[in-house]
Amino acid sequence: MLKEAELAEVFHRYGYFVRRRCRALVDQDAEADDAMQEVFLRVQKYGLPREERATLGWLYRIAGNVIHDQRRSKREQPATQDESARAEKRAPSAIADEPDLRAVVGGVLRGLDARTREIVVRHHLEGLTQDEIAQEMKTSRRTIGKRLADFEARLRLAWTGKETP
Amino acid sequence: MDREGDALSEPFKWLRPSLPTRREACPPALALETYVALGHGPEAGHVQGCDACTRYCAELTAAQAMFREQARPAAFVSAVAERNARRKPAWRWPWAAGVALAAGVGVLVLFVRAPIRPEVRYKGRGLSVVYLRQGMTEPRVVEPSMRLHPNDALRFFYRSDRPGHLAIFERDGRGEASVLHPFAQAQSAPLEQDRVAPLEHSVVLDATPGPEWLVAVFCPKPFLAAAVLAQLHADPPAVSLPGCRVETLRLEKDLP
Repeated sequence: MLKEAELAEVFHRYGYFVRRRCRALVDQDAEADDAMQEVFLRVQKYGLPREERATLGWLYRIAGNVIHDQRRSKREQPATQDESARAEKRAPSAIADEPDLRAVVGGVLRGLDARTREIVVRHHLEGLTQDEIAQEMKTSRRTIGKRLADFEARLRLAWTGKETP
Repeated sequence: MDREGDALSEPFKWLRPSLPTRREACPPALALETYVALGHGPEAGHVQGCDACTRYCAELTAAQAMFREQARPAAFVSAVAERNARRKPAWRWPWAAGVALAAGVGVLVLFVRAPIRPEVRYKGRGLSVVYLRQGMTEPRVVEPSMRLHPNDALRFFYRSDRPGHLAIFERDGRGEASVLHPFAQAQSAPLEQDRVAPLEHSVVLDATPGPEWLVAVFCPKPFLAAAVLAQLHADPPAVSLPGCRVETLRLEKDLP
């Protein structure tokens, strides 16, 4: 378990990046702040990887798990008024602007299995090529490509309102 | 491609609008972010000679500086401590055991406040496991090759004469391996010296046929669970990590 001073140091070094990653995966600032707290709580409990250069990727994995857990716990709650209004407002032909796109992407990510979700994050958020992901995950590039294509197809369907994520 | 098509092809483009599509020589965004976070790294040479990566790193550095101006690490760490203190276990074991059976999983990991007195149960160093069966008032120590029942709840104790890092793994009768402690995490958890309290999670056995293997790995430094999970497929599991202590416990399951 990390001591408070050690956790403060980790926060100083990586806090911005963790907050940024959380904000990329949720709709609201408050959700991102809440997720960031939970990430650092888990970090305090479980420590950091031995390799310094692996730390940020490790924190990103934790952030993804935290947000997935939070979404799963909210899954049965009815949509808020804001969410409903946003869904109604979006016309099928609307141009993808940032807040709407974030909401739709979040919904689609929530519907993916853990492995596909990780592939999407590794590719779209962390900038890895399909070959690099295939090598890391010990699978074929074709599989990675198929899963990314599946994500994109779901995203397009969700965006045009043909499918509720 | 139109603007909407672009946005849907790159749904996180808004996060780094200045970074163009990655060229072959460029490191991935994660590597650049690591480079900025650490302030050094093998990306330095490339970044100096690449306009796009230089711009991206400069933006990250500036945003990080703004974040640091506003963030108060001491207040944040206090908030994390308060969050930890608020957390309560939420477990009712007969209900949870039913869920485990219905779900058909090898074990169900729980946050539990079981009536176990570690000072009575715990002996020696290394891994100890106790089990509690419905109707039993006292938990009992699990012995090697002991026959247990579905619904039996297990708790783990680990004691070492030096601080280190621990992970406990399970391989069920179907050959599927998972991390029980720290539950579903990718890396070992720190362990204090001479800890005698039970570890955080308990498990409830289901009716999956075949032997269950429990493997505890204790190392002086943190280690990745993947390094052990990859070794759990042999029968019997043969796990070896340099400088680490590995203990294996085989359990048989009887139907009650």
